[in-house]
Amino acid sequence: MSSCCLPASDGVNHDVERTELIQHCPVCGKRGKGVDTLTVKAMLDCSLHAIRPSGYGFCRSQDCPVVYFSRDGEQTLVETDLRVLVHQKHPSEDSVFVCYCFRHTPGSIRAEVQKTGQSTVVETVTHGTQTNQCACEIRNPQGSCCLGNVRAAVKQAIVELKSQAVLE
Amino acid sequence: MQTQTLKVVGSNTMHCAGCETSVKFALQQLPGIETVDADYKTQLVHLTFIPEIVSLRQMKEELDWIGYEVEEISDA
Repeated sequence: MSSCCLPASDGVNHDVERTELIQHCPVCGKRGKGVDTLTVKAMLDCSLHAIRPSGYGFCRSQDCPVVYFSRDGEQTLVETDLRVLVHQKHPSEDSVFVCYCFRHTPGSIRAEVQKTGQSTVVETVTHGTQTNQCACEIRNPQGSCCLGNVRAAVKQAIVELKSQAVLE
Repeated sequence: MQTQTLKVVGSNTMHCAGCETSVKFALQQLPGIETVDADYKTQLVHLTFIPEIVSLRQMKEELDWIGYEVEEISDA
């Protein structure tokens, strides 16, 4: 059952009265990252009546099903509640965007590296951000710049290319 | 009223106007923050705030929560 519009039910003690806003995912326990509620609104694939006023954290853990948790600890949102798949949950998946604004995937980055031996994606994304073409806060589930993720994907593609060269 | 400049340091820096907006939004949630100006080109965040209401530690914690490590720059 989708968790969208429903209170969290995975290991959260609702009997405890919370006076502080949580920073850790209530399911995996790892520290999340603050995300603008606008980002959650843009990503949700259900009624926005579900939005909670406490704000949200983003869970980056690959192995955790939770994408967003409300900071009052009462709600978790998983990938099926969202309009898009989340890079952090599928970091090596070729078809899942790593850059949601300019639509780059690990697959497209790998293809360029395989073809040319290098990648221009960091430069093109940087140019896009510096000319205000990006909209990370409403297109990227993490609600912020993808450049760190893009750099990691480029690094991974180059490592793979070098590994192939050694084997051949 | 007090002024303070913070510099974003560490591996995650501001890259664009969206990053600036994130920083401004996060800090403006704190009571006692009067003005925030963030600039990704310089990585600087200029603040005016009421020190009796909000502390530098709270501002740093809020920025850390959204992924930015900052250090204090002394205002001239």
